[in-house]
Amino acid sequence: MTGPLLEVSDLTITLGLGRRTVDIVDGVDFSIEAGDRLGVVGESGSGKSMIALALLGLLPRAMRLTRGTIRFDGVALDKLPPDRLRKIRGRDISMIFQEPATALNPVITTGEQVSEVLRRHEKLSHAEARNRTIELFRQVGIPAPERRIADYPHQMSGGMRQRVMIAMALACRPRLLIADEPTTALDATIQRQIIDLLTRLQEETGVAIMLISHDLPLVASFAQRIMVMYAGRHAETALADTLFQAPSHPYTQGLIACALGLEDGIERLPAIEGQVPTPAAFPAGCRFATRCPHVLDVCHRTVPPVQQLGSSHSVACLRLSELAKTSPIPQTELSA
Amino acid sequence: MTDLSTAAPQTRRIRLSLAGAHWPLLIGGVIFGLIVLAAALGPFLTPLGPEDTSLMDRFKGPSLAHPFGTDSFGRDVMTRVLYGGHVSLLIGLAVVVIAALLGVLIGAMAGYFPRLDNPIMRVMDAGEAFPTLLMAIALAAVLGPGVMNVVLALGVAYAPRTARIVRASVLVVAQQQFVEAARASGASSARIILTHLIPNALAPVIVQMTFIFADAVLAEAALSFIGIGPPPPAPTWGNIIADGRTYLYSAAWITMFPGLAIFLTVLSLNLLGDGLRDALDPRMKKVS
Repeated sequence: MTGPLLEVSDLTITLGLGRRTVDIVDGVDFSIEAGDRLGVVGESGSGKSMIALALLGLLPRAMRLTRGTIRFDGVALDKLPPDRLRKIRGRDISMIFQEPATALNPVITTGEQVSEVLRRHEKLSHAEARNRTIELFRQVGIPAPERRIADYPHQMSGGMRQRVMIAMALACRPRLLIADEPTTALDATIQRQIIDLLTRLQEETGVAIMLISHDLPLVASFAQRIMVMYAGRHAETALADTLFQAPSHPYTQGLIACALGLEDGIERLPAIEGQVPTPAAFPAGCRFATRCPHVLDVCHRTVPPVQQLGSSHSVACLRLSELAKTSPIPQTELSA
Repeated sequence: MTDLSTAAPQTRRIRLSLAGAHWPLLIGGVIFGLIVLAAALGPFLTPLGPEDTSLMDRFKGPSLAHPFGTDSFGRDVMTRVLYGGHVSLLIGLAVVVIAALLGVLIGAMAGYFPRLDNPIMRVMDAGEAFPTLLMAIALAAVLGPGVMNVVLALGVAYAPRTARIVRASVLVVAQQQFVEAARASGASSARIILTHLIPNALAPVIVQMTFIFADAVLAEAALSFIGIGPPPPAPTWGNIIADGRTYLYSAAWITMFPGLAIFLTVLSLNLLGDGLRDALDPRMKKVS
């Protein structure tokens, strides 16, 4: 294979609001290589989950893909007929959801839900699917899998249910796994376990993982590359190390200041003033302009283009050349 | 190991709450169970046949030989009520099955496919606008009298109610993440509707089925009473009452006992339905 596993360019998702329309995801580009671990970070409403749904062709009805292309393994997913796309879902690309409590059907046993996927895509018999399910349960660290496959979701803890979701997602050995806030509904120690599990499974199976989260430190502990999104636009993409050493977008700088503030135990936590505007109130120019500490008049009028700072570092900020040097973090080197 | 020890007290708690908090469920269930049992075992409970006449024993009041008395042909009313219950309850059951099958399928389609929602539900509205009995009478007029036609007519007449309930609960279930998760794992629409939506939307339908059963028993009696039910001499609760209505002043027992059977059946089914609704609805759960 020559190109990247997944290549998304100029992805634009439009939400109809009565007669008006808003681009809740606006011109986002990114790519994932086979075996890559990409983190996507942004607050609620930044459009990161919508990107995930768009990749699978599962956008809610009020939203439409209006621009851009999604190429997976050379195939344009956005132009695929629904039944072909359905065959890709769960087999080549699969997804883990935020709430393991509600992402499993309460009236079917967990084992049956995993085997159902195996029977559907791999055409396995009931007995074969059962054996594979037990094997998968073991792989994701569920103790006594032979007994646990008979459990209903309500008989399992949150962490166990998320492991079932992961088992289901990995059942058909997909090449891309989209994990949308997989740890948000879990408590801190379980979060760690799930991230470690995802890391281990990624290394074992070579699946590419796109981890979506609002939790920057968590993503940083997992992903090789991180894309920061704000209000439906790409803010900054960089290797995880680069992002922390030389955050170049004011929003990224703010996020990292918040995250580091947590660790340093300083008296008052740094915070980014204000909230993400609602889609109906997205500003015309840079969408971060309403909260940016470095805002200029021009920011309110002009949409900042994405600029390359290095081979794998891109930033969308009009004042990039000045701000990249006024990072709030003391640092000696700037990456190329 | 631990889940075995926690499982036992949990089942015990459910049993306690069944006996304690849901007494209508229990009483309704027991009465209805007895009625069903009596109707099913009818032939073994009485030595007489439902159409055995005895001119010597016309209009006998209740006695040891004829606990419910006899009618104008000297037929034993108890025997006829037992055999009639067999027919009436089977008709009720068949109506419930037809109404549930139609209603669940139609309602699930309306709830799942937004494009079909309006067209389907407006047709259901139109269907519901007809009084059930009139609709059944109209259908019977077209198809002619007989057990199958009564069943068909009532089943179709009750389907819209079920469809409405199923649609409402499918709309709720379809918002759940596991439906999206199923779609994300490549499940087809048919698969999602059959294995994910319908089983999770069934609780209110089960409740509704008990009420439809009760309604169907009443409707069958009414249809038989006006002569478009199963034709005589085969007994149903409705046509036993119809037969006895001429002698209401002189031999009230002929109408009273089948009437009582209908009353008890409908009452027990309503208790059962109310109890089930309380037991299945998490919002109705009592605190403590």
